[in-house]
Parts: sequence; structure tokens; C-alpha cells
Amino acid sequence: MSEILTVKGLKKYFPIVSSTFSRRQVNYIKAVDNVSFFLNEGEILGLVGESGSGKSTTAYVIVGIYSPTAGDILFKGRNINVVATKRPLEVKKEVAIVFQDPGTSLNPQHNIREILSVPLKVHKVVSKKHLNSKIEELLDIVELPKNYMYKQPRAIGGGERQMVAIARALATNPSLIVLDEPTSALDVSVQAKIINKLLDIQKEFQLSYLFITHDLSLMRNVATRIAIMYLGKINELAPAAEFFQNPLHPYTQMLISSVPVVSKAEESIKKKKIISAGEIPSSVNIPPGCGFNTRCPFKKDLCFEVDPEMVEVMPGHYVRCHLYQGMRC
Amino acid sequence: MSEINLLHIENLSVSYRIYRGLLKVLDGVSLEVRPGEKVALVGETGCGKTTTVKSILNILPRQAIIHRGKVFFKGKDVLRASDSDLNYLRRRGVSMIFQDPTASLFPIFTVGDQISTVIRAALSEDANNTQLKESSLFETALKALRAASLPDPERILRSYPFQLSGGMRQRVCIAMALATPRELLIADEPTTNLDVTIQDQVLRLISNMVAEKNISLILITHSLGVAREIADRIYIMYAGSIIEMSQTDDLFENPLHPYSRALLNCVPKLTGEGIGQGVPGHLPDYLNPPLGCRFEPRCPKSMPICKKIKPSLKEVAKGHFVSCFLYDSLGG
Repeated sequence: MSEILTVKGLKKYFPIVSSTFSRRQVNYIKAVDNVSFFLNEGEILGLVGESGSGKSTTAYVIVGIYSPTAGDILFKGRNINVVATKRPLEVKKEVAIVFQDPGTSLNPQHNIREILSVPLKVHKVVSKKHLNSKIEELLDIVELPKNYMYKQPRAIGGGERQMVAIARALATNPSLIVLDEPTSALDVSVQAKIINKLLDIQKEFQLSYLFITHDLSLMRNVATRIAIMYLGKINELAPAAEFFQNPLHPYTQMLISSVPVVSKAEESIKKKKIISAGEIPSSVNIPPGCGFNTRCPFKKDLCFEVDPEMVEVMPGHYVRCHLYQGMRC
Repeated sequence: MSEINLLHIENLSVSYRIYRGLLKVLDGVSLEVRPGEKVALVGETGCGKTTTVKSILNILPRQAIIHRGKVFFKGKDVLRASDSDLNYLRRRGVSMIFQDPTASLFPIFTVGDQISTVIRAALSEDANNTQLKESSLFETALKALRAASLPDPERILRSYPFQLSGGMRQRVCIAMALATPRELLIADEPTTNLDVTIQDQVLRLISNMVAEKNISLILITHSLGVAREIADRIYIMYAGSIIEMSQTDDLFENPLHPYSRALLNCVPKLTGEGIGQGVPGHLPDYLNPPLGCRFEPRCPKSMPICKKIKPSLKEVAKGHFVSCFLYDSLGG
């Protein structure tokens, strides 16, 4: 299996200026701070975090909405650490994104046909003659009827709109799709339909997904590997089953024990009960040392001085915490 | 009507008047809450959860038409109550926490101003407490914030809502709702906008405060998991009707209605057994809802009778009510 995406030391800092006119930089918001991970071909990597953890910024830097402050993004071995406008067309064609809210990510003045034809025309996927048949094919993949072509986004339901957004992402035959919370605005019965469709598509077209979400139980059922982000850094990364059987980072344990569940079997997974306390600090004033030291029940003096390094404690299981620094495998 | 109920909604039907006609939203909802009981009302977007609880405070919008039904709070019919009874209900009887704490706090007043307004209103209903002093007001507000485990309550009293985080704003709303003695707390999706660790903290806070003050709770949520964490009893709602009601454990071990089963099946589980197929189709059009069971067009076990007659809520096992013809033979 080869790596389709490798992210190395990625940083995205947003400057805070003192006033609109002087533009004097006062401080930085460290939205993404030294993030490294890789994504294998045909794999689903779940990037989980609370709001303000930098997971969406990571996604936006990868698809080129923001340019990174530092770091490398290797897509199929090619460095693409610039904004999308500076990327070669053939790379842009291969990386697609589905946004969280289909109500705002689809142009309300265009009908579905116009929305889907934009990427087809820009990337010259099909000739003008075959445009309609390609759009019909795309609607067919997401199981929407053909007559939806001439409807406007507001005339269809929320779940169907997200299906249109998925069809648009598929239009250019990408190999990597970044899914930025694709179902968090939807009801669970609709979410189930969308997730099952996404998994079918992933298998059929051999796609790789970078799946951004805040929903751990959803990731348990979807992701091959899961990474937890907190204050712009990855705290733990492990294969999905291992991640839930043997969560190591105190933050991961806190997250898992906070998930509301619906069966007794699930409660046994939440056995390591760490009571949730405190809130995520602002990413302007990140505390020195480990970012989690304000909420951690196991904090030591060291945690306030030194930021721990990412350590591979078991094959494929990485954790960034002082508790496990000696457990290098 | 039994004597022990604090709140009793009886066969309530509500429509909304719009340009194209009547949206027949609530269709015969019955619900009861006993003193000290925690009840959850679970359903997906647009099933009428919020309309149901707005009728309890009689704050339905002007377009709403109440066709039939009664809402009794401590034996008084809320929908036909006088203004002074309504004032008492809203100031001393029932308080409500809304989904979006940013929208339910006034942005140009400090938290202290807003809490003292609530306390003043509640005390004005209290005949023995007309001599209200500003100093005791401050103390009561501080006590309320402390009870909601807000750190540094003196600073928070002087803060504006935008200076607080989302979790803290929701705690302020809880503090405000429970600053004065109440008998029923309605929480309308109190944790939907919050992160999962903050959700856990807020749910625990609501649960503890309700237990401590021995008041009743109606929790509205779309998440079965959240309902399971908190409630003693759960009502499941679909398209304006209660389709199943039972004790919490019973419901999760043995869901009966096809919709409850499908919904539970859709919830992603930590055990990683995959996600169910979802429920095919859409919510019915409220302008022309189906004549019979409103779930019939989406039901995998639909029968001819379901198209014609609306099933009523029947007790099929002890304390387990379901409105479905599949269980008609079991009905007592």
C-alpha cells in the first residue's frame, strides 16, 4: 500500500493585527501547529476534534483554501504546499472536498445541472455533447432521480443536497476526497444513508477519504485509522479498533467516556471513566508545555514546561503525552 | 386526569396557518410528567417536539391554531388560563432552556442584569417577598451561578454574553432558569451546539440540579444517547404524534415501533458493528398528512389497515406504550 497523502510538520498561523489600518502583527492564532500524518491509498483516516481544535483548518490547507505557514503536503509524492490557485490543474482535479453545510456550499441561484457542470467544464472531463449524460451518471451514483437536474438546491431536502455536493466532488474522478463534517448538520436517519453511500462509493472507486468529524462513534464505524486533534496538534493516532480498545492519551479517554451511548455493550467500552472537566483554551493563549495541561487529571510539573513529543508506543499507535515517553517501541 | 401528574397534555392538535393552507403539525399528542420525574421527548427535525413544549408555556406563535386538546399544569388548563395565572406559570412554575444560548441571552445586557430581571419577576409573584432589596438580588444571582458550577461568578455577573464561551453561556442559561424555585424545567436541545466533553458536563449539571431541587424535567433532544443518559422515561415522536413511550431501559432493550427500531439502528455505535440502512423516504407533507398512520409510507411492515386508520397509543407491556397495529393483538 502506498501513501497517497503525506503531511509533514504542517503549520497554519493566522496573524492578529492591532488595528485594521496599522496592520501591525500583535500575535498569532496557532490553528494548526506542527501536524504530521499520512493517508494510505484506499484508506479512511478520521480526524476527530472539538471545535477550535484546528481540524477544519487542516482540511482547508490540504485542499488549498489556505496556504500553509510552514510544512509540506505531499500528494502522490508531489509537494503541493501552496494555495489551490498555484497548484497544477491535474492535482486540483484529484483532490476534492465536501463541506459541512450543503445549504451554503451549493450556489442557491444555480440549478443542480449548473452546479455539477462547473467542475466538468473546468477540468474538461467530458465534451459538451456528453455533459448531460455525465451529469445523469453522477446523479445516478448518488441515487438521485434524473429530473433533479433542473431543480434548485432549496427545492430539495438537506440529505439530498449533501448527495449533490458528493456528486460534485466525484465529478472530476478524484482519488482523495476531504469530507469536512459531511453529516453533522443532518438527522441520524439521513446520516446513515449518506454514510453508507459514501462507503459504497469509496469501495467502488478505490478512493481515499480524509474524514473530519467531531463524532467518535461515527468514526468507529467508518475509519480505518483515527487521529485526535487538540489545540492544533495531533494527540493520538491509532487504528480504529485499537483506538477504542486501548486509548492512551488522557484526552482520548475523556472524549470516549463523554460519548452518549445507546446500549450496555457500548458502556463496557467506556470503562475507563475520566470525568470531563474544563474547556478547550483559546488558540491565541496556548498554555506553555502540553496544551492539555489545563484539563488533564494526570498532569505533572513536567507537563507545564515541556511539550511532549509524538511517540510510537505500539506499531501504528502514536501518542503525544509525557505518561508514555518511555514506552517507545 | 390523575391527581399525581404535575403536567398533563391531553390529545393536543396544533396547526400552523401559512399561505398555502394549514400545516397540521401536532396530531393528538398526549404526555404526562409526574413530580420529580425526568422525561425525554426524542424525535428528528420537524417532528413537533418544540411545538409541543411551547404549548406548555402558552408561547406558541400567532399563526398556530389549537384544534383540540388541553394542557394541564397542576390541574389548571394553561391554554385557557388568565393572564395572572400565566404570569405565575412562567415566573414560578415552569422555566425553559433553549437550544442556542447565544440567541437566548440578550447581547447588550450583562449576565447580572439578565439574571436579576428573572429573579425580580419571580419574586414579584411571591406575596411575602415584596420588600425586595438589591443586595439580596446580587446574592441570589451569585448563588445561582455558583450552583451551575461557573468559575469566578463575580466576574461572570459583570460580563456580557459574548465574553463567555458556548459552554459557559449555556451554564448561565441553566443558572438563570433555576435561579428561583421552579417545579418543571424544560430543556429544548440544551447541548446540540456544544462539544461532546462540554455536553457531558452540561448534562451532568442539569441532571444533578434537577435531582437536588427535586423538580421535574422535560428534555427535548434528537439524540437517543443523550436521552438515555438522563431520562427515567422516554417519549418517541414522529411527524406530530407520540409513537412509543416506555421506561428508558425497556425502550433500549426492546424497542417496538418500526420507527424506533430503525432510528436506533441508525445510531453509530462505539462497538463498531456498522451503521443501519437509515429510514427510506421523507417526513410526510404536513399540508396533506397521510390519513392513517403517519409513518405508513416509510414503514417496512406496512399493512392495509395502516393506510386507513391512525393507530392509538396502547399499553402492550407494563408501562410500555406503542401506537402501531402490529401490536394490536397484544393490546390490553
